[in-house]
Amino acid sequence: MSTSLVWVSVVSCALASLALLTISICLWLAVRARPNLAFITLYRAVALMLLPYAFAELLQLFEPVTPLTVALSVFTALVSMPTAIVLVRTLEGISSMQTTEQMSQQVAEANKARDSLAAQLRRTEAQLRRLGEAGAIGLIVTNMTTGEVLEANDRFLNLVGATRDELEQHHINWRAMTPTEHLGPSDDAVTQLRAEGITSAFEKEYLHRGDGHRVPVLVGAALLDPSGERALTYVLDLSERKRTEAAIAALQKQRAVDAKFRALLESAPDAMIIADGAGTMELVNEQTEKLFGYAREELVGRRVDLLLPNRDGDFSMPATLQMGSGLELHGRRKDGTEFPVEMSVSPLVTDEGLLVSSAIRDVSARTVTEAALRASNKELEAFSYSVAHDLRTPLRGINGFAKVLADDSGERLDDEGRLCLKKIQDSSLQMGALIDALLSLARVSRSELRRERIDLSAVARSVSCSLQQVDPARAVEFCVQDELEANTDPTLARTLLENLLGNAWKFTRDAREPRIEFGALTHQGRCAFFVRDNGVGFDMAFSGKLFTTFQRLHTSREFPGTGIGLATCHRIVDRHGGRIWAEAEVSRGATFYFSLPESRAAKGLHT
Amino acid sequence: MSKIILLVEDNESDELLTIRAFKKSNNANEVLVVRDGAEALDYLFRTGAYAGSDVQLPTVMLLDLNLPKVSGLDVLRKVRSDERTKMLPVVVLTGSREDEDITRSYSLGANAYVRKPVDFSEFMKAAETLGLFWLLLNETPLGRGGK
Repeated sequence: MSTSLVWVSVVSCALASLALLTISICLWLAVRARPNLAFITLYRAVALMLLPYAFAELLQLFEPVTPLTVALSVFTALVSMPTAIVLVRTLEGISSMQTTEQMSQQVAEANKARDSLAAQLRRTEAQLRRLGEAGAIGLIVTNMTTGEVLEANDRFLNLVGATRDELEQHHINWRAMTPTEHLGPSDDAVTQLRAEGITSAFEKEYLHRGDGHRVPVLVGAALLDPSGERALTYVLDLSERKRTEAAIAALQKQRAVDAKFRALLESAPDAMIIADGAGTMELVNEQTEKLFGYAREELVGRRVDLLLPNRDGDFSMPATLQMGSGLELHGRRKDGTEFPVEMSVSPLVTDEGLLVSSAIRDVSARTVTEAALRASNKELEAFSYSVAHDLRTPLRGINGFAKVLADDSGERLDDEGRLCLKKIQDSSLQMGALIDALLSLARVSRSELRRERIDLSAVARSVSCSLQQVDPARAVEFCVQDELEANTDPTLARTLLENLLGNAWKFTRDAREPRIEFGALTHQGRCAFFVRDNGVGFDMAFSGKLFTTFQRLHTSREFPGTGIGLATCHRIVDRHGGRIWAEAEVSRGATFYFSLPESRAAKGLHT
Repeated sequence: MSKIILLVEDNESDELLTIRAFKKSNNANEVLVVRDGAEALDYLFRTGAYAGSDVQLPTVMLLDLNLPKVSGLDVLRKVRSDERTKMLPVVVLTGSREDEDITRSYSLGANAYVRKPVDFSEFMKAAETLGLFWLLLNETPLGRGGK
């Protein structure tokens, strides 16, 4: 037996024993690590079974060495060693590996997360759909190039007055529904959409397909597919907001108006009171405070009777009452003193019911003025009387004694002396005529207007007869239209025609075939009377002076006159509420027109 | 007995001219002049300066309205309210043509109202007509040889 063979036997036995022991331990550990492995008992049995083999190999060291035993030990070591190494490595892997439970748990968790995500997604989707269908927002999918609306929710369809059928038949196109002035901004938005994939929200209007009214909207869009032509557009109805804005604007305007109204109320010269139907004061102005001596707070909420104690009945007078309508009232100040007032009342229909607006004016000053005016008028009347009576007396003397002198001693005077006496007489007569004309003018203004149905044709004929009697030598053709009537003062009507016909008579003095016409025609839809002559006429450039007192268009050397006659005519027509005017041409005669209310021509009028 | 015209006139010029006008037209009649309303009443009722005198009532009285002391209208009122003079013809002869004067004169019983014109020729015609009517044509109860 060689020594080397003994060493080989020792080493191989040791290695084999170690390897078998390792295999056994590893199997045991593996089973511990994975207790739910299949055939676990088998693994344990193999581990236990290998232990004695490991000890048996150790015992081989003490056995006698034979080549056969050595070879068997070497073979056993060679087989068991790699198995041990593989097992150790496997065990390392098994200990680091997750268990099936862990894995299935993870899968379960993953599934749960997925389910929750899906639920959330469904919720979001449902919310979105609800949002779409609930009508808050109109949603459409459009073709960006053609403008056709491919899909739309009910809200959008309702908004623009379209039906789903129309949508399905491809009849809805947003361009067609966009007013011309909004096409530009809309196209800009499409450009932005193509470039950036999204548009900023902007306001525009759609034309309602039903009645064509404009629907204000806020729109914004996003590309649905970056390469495609479809865009998702949301359409928010702004009608309500616009209405609100308009209402706010109206309210602001109303406030501005209210402010102006208040300013107006405050600046009014009269005391202004706005009361409700029961006469409770709601609003008073500063003038009310001044006039009645109360502070505003003392008046608002109290009744108007406080200020107007003798006012009959309640304040809910529905009719309008004009200032100066003859309602005599007295106002009572805070200190109890009373003063005459005049008031106007007008109803104000407001949202809060009937209000009564009244303006109250202190007329004590005017009452005084009226008294002064009456006194002044009386004085004027006395003056007129004095003119009539006293101024004429010396004139009679001047005229009379000049005449006496001419009659008694004219022969002793030379021609110039006699001419002087003649001038004295003429002058006094002229002054007498002036005084009479002035008195007549004064009488027109002063006398009470008494209206009667007057046959102006008859008056004109009577006046023409008088004129003819005064100067029978003249042959003048009078043409008086029949049955011309007016509702006028008889005295003034006569004075009017005396002046106008008298003028015509006077200024036709040099006419070859003098003709004076009195008639009526229609002027601006109203009956206008006229007195026409073919006398000397006048230059219309001076027509502005015609009706002014003491203004004459002819010298008294040409034609005698006072310059008061036409002023008197003007005043007469004026007092009747009519109008007087003239048309004339030099050497071609003159026509004086005048209108009087309620006048007519029984046999129709010329136009 | 000649017929008397009683002229009640305060203005001297008017008095002279009126007398001249009547004289020119009718020389036969006498024009008596009193210069204010009080004197007119004294004359008619023989009071004051005329108390106890033997003046006769005029055939016609020409009465101015605007007179000192007693106005023409007051004279007229008194004349009409007195039995002795209530039928005396009174012609108001004045410068006024005021409607009020005319109306009041007639309502107080004036028989005529004549306005004195400025033109003396006209006035002379008026005087002639007045004289002709009141002194010659018109018959009065007082004119037939009254007191």
